[in-house]
Amino acid sequence: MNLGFGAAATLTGLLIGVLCSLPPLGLALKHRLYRPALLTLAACALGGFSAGLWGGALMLVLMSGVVISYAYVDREDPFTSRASIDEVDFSESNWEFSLRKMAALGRTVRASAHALVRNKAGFLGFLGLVFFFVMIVFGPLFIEYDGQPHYYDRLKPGAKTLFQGPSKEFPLGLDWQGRDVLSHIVYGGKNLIRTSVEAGLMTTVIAVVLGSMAGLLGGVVDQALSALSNFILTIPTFPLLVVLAGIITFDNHTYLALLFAALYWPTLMRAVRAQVFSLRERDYVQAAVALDLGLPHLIFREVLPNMISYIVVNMIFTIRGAMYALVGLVFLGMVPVQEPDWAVMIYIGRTRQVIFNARAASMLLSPIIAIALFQLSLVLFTRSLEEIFNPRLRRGL
Amino acid sequence: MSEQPLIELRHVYRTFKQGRQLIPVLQDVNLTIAPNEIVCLVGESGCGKTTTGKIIAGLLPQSEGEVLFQGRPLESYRGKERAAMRRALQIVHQDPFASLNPAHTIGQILSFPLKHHKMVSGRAELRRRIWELLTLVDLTPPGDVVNKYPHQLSGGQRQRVSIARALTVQPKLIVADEAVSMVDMSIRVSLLQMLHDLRDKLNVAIIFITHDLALAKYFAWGERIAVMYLGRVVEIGPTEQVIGNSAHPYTRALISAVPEADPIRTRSKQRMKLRSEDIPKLTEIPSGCAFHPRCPFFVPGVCDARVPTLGAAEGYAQQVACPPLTEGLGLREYEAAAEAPVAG
Amino acid sequence: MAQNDVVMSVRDLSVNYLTERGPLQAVNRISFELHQGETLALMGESGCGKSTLVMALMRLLPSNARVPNGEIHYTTRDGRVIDVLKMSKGKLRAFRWSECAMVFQGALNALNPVIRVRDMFYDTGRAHGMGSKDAVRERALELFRLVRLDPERVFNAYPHELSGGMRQRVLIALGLLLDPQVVILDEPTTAVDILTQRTIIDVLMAIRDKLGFSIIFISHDLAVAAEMADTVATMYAGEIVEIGPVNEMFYRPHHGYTLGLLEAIPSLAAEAEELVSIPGSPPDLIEPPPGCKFHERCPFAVERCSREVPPLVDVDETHRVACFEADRVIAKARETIQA
Repeated sequence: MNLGFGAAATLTGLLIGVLCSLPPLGLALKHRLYRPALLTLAACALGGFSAGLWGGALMLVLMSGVVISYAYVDREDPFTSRASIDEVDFSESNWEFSLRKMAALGRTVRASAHALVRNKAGFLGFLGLVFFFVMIVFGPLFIEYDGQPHYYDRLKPGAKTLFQGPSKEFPLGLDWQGRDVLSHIVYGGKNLIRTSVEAGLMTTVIAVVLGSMAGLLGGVVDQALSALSNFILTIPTFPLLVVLAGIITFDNHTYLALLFAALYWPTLMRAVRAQVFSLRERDYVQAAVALDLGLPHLIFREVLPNMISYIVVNMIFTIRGAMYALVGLVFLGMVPVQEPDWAVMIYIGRTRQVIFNARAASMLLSPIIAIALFQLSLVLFTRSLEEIFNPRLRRGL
Repeated sequence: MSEQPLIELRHVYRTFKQGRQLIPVLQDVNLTIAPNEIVCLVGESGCGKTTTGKIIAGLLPQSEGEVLFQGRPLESYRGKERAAMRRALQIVHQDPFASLNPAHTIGQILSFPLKHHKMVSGRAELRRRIWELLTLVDLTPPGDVVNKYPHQLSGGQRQRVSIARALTVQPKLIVADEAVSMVDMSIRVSLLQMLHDLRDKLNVAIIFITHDLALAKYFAWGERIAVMYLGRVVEIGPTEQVIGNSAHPYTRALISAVPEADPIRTRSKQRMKLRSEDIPKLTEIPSGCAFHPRCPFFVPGVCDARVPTLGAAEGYAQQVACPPLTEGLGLREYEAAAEAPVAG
Repeated sequence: MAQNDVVMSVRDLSVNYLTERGPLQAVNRISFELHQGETLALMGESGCGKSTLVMALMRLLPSNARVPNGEIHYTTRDGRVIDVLKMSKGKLRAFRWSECAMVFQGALNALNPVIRVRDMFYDTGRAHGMGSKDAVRERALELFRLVRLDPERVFNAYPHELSGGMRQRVLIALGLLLDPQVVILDEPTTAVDILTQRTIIDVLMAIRDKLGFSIIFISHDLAVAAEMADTVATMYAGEIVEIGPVNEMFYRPHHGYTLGLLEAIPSLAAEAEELVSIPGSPPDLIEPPPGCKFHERCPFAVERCSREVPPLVDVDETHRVACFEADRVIAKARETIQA
């Protein structure tokens, strides 16, 4: 039996989620924290239901942190007492130490949740993303994929014609082969979104690694990388992407994402480089240099934490760009067409002359609206991300 | 001085590139700092005091000349010795809002150097040491700040954290670069008093860089002051002498120009009239003594001819770089000074 | 000073900022009068509300600021009294430059780098109906001479060709272009060097004596206040806690905070000094402490200070203080300050 992602959207997944919720739930009930307890149950069940053991375990850790952060009273920590140094016992058992660390994690989760809810636009974006997530993961439970063409003599039950407009039975109508558009919307986002996210992640990784290197090492490394990025920036990227995608036939979408990343990293890399340059001159970085804390400390402790907000937001925008590029490639027919896919729906809309058929509007508009809504949610969500990752909005005890 | 100096600058020059021009920021700076000593570097913006501080802290290499730490050039240190040398020289910056990383809590900020340099063993000792350090800089009770982020503290508190951070590695010298100038005046004094106490308790030397003469006088009373102008030290000596019996015309001009928080005295104070109000650009430093175009005691053919070096002058206990004084000519008002000064 | 030469009279002025946590009382029930030719120094530490106060006087407050109560009466040269807070937008524009001008701190940022000094003067002159370019030019050159700048050179220069001190003086001249009655200076000598500061102080004093305008300036530097001001007001946590003639304030302070500040700043003239800093830090202005806002840091505080808000009462005709324990403060001041 598959307990990982395979358990998603199954009863097993739900069971895993509920099982995962038990430890933090018990702890919460013991401390009479009923609201956190309820949240814990909901979060863990959802986590398990949507991503199997992985989601359940993640929620188990996060929610334990949250519950501990409520239950763990910091005043008991000798460190925050008001006693004099001789009265304080600084020794700490491993158990206490891990409790403290879990509480810190829990506070971060809570602060992030607050930041998420506080920004209305960002929260709206978050809800939008949740909607798409739920649709992709749980949609298949309720809607069957309608992949086989239905011809005139064997139309779908309840259908009168091909290209049927929205009706009670088919809320988004039927497409050129008499198939349910709604099912294509539900099933068709997964690949596109996954490939875009992959492309965005890869672009960001390349850009951040190269940008930090250029910014921190400077000199020849910086000059070489800058020259390379300038060179790539002068190339009209999208036409090149089209040509390359046409020459190399991809059967794996990950390679397509990689190709995108290989062409689109320079913009973000230059931005990261500029950020690193400016951060490098900050007094606290200088102080870390004087304290001789070493290059890894400089990168991971001083520079990156202050860039995460910037990087994450830019990653989101890159994902957005990647999605447009992918849709463009499919639209032009430069990558193997494979249903179900929102982009393929648009492609077919073009090749089958759907554009000239008023009754078929739904077949073309549905994927366009889905893509636009997803993009809008992404962009709105960046507002919340900015707040979540902004260290200045953090509150210590 | 019988003791070996902690830090010695010998003929240190520093230039910066700006486009194609080379800007001489420091020229022939000589300075020694004994262990446990306090030296104030005073001067206006662009005089090179911050650059000097950075060179001493090892954050910036000199272009020419030598910087000796305990008798050996900084560059000659290798391996473990070099690490120890770097830890011995610490800096506290001016801006309390920029000198602490906003992403970490105060406890984390102090724990990084303690852990990295293995100054403590084990969690209990780490926490004990952080507690001690925070107490040492008067952030009491430490529990109130240790889990806070820098932006939750006031400017004065942050500056104390900066100092505590410098103290984590048990330095022998702290360069305090305008360390209190952005802190509210009502708490400046307590910071200075704390620095003094730390000097006595921990046996560190302090280089205090400031543009505020009165502050320098207060902090370095019984110690030494060096006055800098356009990249050179023009006067150096015991504070009481430099302030109370200043030799160099530039120092005198500064002292006469400073307003005082005493209405009657400040309004009746004798002001020294300069021949020009413009500070020359670093790219066009005047020949000879850089102060000569502004100096009311200008001696043609002497001041504009030779670059003066620090030396003894009759009637003064401090060293001064002013040819009329060191060569025994005495200061006499320059005739043309009678003309109305024209700025611009 | 006679009663009838009041130029600006502020009564009961409060300013709040709307914040996420609630209203922040930046300025709280402030009253004072500014006479013709008088120089008033507002001194206090960062966050005491001094900048907010002068912004309110010019009605230049940011959009999240509210003025719940107060009056700002301004008397024009021809004797009309106007309430600045009730002025229409159009009248406010005229008021801002020709009656009351403001010189901002940070001379670097206040000047547009791509506009020549002369165009800045022409634009300002035209916007306020000064007539021909020649009139503006003539006035500008005259002002440059008064602030000891080389008139022709500076008039045709770009800001980057001028040093920091010269830019500050250009801004002063620009503020005086329309011959205002009141000039507000925001930290006029902060972030400039000692010798530049000296020039600016000298120039300001000279030009004030010649043109006879009134000055309100804010400074955290007591020494500058001691040198330039006729009247000094100490601000703490949004309130004027003491106001009086400069000599009174520096030699006979009646408020614990004024005395605390005086004891905390080093002087060049004295020998080795004993300085004392004020313990603690300024209060939270969203939830201010009850009673006197300074009582938590005040060495003179008694139980009453934490209950009741001390009113601003007369020490004599010109000197007012808001402190219950003023007698003890002045007794201590007599011991420590030798005038």
